Amino acid sequence: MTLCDQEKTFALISEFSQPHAELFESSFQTVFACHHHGDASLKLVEVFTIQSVVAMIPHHFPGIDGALFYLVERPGLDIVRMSGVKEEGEEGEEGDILDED
Amino acid sequence: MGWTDEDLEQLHSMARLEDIRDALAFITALRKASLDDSFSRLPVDALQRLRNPPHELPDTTDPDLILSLKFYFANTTIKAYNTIRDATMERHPDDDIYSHHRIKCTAAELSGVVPIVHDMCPNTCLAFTGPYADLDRCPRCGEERWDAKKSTAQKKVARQTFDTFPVGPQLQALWLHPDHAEKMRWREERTKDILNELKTTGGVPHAYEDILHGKQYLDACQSGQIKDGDSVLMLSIDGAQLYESKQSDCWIYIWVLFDHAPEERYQKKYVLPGGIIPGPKKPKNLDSFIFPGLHHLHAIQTEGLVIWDGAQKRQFLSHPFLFVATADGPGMAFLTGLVGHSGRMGCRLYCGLQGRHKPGAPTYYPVLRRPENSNNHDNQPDILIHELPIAGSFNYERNMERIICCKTMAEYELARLETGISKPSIFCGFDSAHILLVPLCFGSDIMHVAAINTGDLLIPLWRGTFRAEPTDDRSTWTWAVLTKATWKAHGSLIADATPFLPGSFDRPPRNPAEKINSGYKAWEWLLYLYGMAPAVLYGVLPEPYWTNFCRLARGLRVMQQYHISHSDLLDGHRHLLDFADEFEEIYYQRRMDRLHFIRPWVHSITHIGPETVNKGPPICSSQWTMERTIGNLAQEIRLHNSSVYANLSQRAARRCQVNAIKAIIPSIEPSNNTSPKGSLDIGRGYLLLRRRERTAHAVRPCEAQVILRYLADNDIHVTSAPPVTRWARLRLPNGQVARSAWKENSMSKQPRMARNVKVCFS
Repeated sequence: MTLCDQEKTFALISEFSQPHAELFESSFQTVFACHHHGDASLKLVEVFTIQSVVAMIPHHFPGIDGALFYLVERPGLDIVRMSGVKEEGEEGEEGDILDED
Repeated sequence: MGWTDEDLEQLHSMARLEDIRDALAFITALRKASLDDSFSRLPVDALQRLRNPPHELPDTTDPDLILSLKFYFANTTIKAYNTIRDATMERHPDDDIYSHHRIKCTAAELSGVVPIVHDMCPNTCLAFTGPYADLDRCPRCGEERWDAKKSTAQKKVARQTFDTFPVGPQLQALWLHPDHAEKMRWREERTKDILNELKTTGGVPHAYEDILHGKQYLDACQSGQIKDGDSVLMLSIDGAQLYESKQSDCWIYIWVLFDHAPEERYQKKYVLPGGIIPGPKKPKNLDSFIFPGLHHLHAIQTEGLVIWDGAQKRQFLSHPFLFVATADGPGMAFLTGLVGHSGRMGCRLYCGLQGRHKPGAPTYYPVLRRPENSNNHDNQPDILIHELPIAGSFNYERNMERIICCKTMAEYELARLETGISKPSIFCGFDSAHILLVPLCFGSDIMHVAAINTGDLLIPLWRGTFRAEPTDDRSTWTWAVLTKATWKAHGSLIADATPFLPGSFDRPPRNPAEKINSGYKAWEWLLYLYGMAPAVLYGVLPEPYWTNFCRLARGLRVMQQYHISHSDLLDGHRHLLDFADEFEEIYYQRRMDRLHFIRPWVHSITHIGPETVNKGPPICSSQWTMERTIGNLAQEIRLHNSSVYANLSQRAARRCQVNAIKAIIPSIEPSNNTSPKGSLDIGRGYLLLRRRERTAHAVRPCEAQVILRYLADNDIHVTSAPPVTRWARLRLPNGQVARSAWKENSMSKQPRMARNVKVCFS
């Protein structure tokens, strides 16, 4: 999209909720578990705001209603960078160069 | 600090016990190391070249040479190489592809890296180096050194040899090409920045990002021990089991160079192989095997390594500095000459904490609280966690002298128990100007602690399968909840999470209930214990055990980062201390019969924080690099080869040469910075990857609303949202690739989800 003469690239994301406060605090911030609101919490952001790819794993916490998604970050994300590990494309995604309608 | 040459001579003359004498013989030989002495064994032309390195890049205009090198680099066997050579020459008869022998010689010549070959005991007891150099049979097992069939009166041929790859030529190669010479200067540039930063922050860095932020490194720079152009090295050693099914030990050591930026230094092409110690048995005297590599290093440290700097077109002398030596737990005891973790003074960082043991049992545990009812067996009072001694604070010098002076075995055994030293460390042979003094040069190893040791204790405790003394009733283990169906369900939760772990997370943890005993990998432990366990154990592991575990997870998550802010460091350290202290309280409960719950790592983690201040983030000097090097070397060898060790050694030798040649002739390697076809570089390290929609499409009403709101916030007022063109994937600056939901939903086979991203609103 061109905004004020600048070409910008956006991501339309669905924001997770704030983490479940009690879990977050009692776990010393190691359990970051959120609700997912789908289309109800859409947001438009510039792609440069995206820092890293993370895992959000659905889980039913005993005594807490509904499914929450807990966050797992890649341990020492730095190691990817440090060891020069390259990501492998799945099912030949690297060859995925066709345009699509 | 440290011993003078005379001190060492005198100590050597005082030593009475044979093992100690031998250790000191290595130490004094190392101290006197010279490239000209009889231990050096560098071939004459290699020595000549080491002292007079080329100033010119090799002539790379010969296309036949370049093509031949490329074939050779493809890790081809001789047979494969010749087949390719013949085929190429059949099609292009004018080409003169080098024969395998010729290219092998050319590679050695271009790189300047020639392995130094030494003889060894066929049972891997020791190497015939240093004081053992002239022996005809192994003094330990009595095996003959010489191969009677191959030997003649003029020339003796050893039954078994091993290779050492001298570090000097490998360092020289990295300076020859202007581009690489610039890379080698990263450390000195960065050090200047850090020293300037510290002037404005009162000496405390905002964040620890590398060993360069470590106090011990900066002190060595400021005292002039490390100067510009001096390479700063880590030695890392590990044993590998080449076959899973049978004894096939093989020890490898490598050099990691802190001169390169972290993004590069841990890559295969910049990690320098140091030596290969063939099995199938474990080496008994490790000093004798690493002696040739250390001897070479010390010789170039004292003489100065002549470097031709291809960027600044000048010659200078480099004095490489040995910053840290590291191994896993058992390997470390070998390397350091300390008694190892089951000794009374078992701390590998030599802090001097005295362990406790059960009556009549030889194993000591680093337990702080005095057990109840210990009567006169254990008179050591409680030790407060905040009063734990710091790493390296036990008096190594005095204690080593005590060990050396022992005259009888009884005297020695008592001294060993009380000092935690079983023999003087070979690293004492280095001149104190070129090494972080023993024991400070002994590194910690966060990889094994965090990824393997912790799980080896916690999971069996929680499953109730950990060893219990007859006096201890497991039914009182209120933490032992992962039994039967609960354990099964827990295992399934871990396995079922796989589709939600992005491909960039590498290997997802397998179901622990099924696979925990079948080679569960360090990486699996890491994701399982610190990534997932705090969440999935909530409501399963009772209090106070869950909270206690979360402290550990919190502390270790912080400490395993490459970037640790000062406040995170304090926070992480506090959590680790709290964990360790509370762990004793709630599991061990001052019971003599539970002393064995307090494994060495429970103590090790208390050093991680302070050691980060000393040496930078522990990940920077961890065994992860070693693991990977062993992994990819082992991958390259053909496992069914009968002489597997010789093959491994050839691979390592070739690795040295290939790395050196790539550094000298960078153009030989295809640039890997090329963007995938059809991608769009949008700057700042972000890359859009195909597929892409051919035509823009209208968005859904809920999406339109969000887009319009965004535009309005930016003072753009339109009545309808513009159509959009979607992309499938986005490559981030950190190398990870995020997929759009559009892409993932259209994939025929559900991929491991990579659409969840961390977004930073500034």
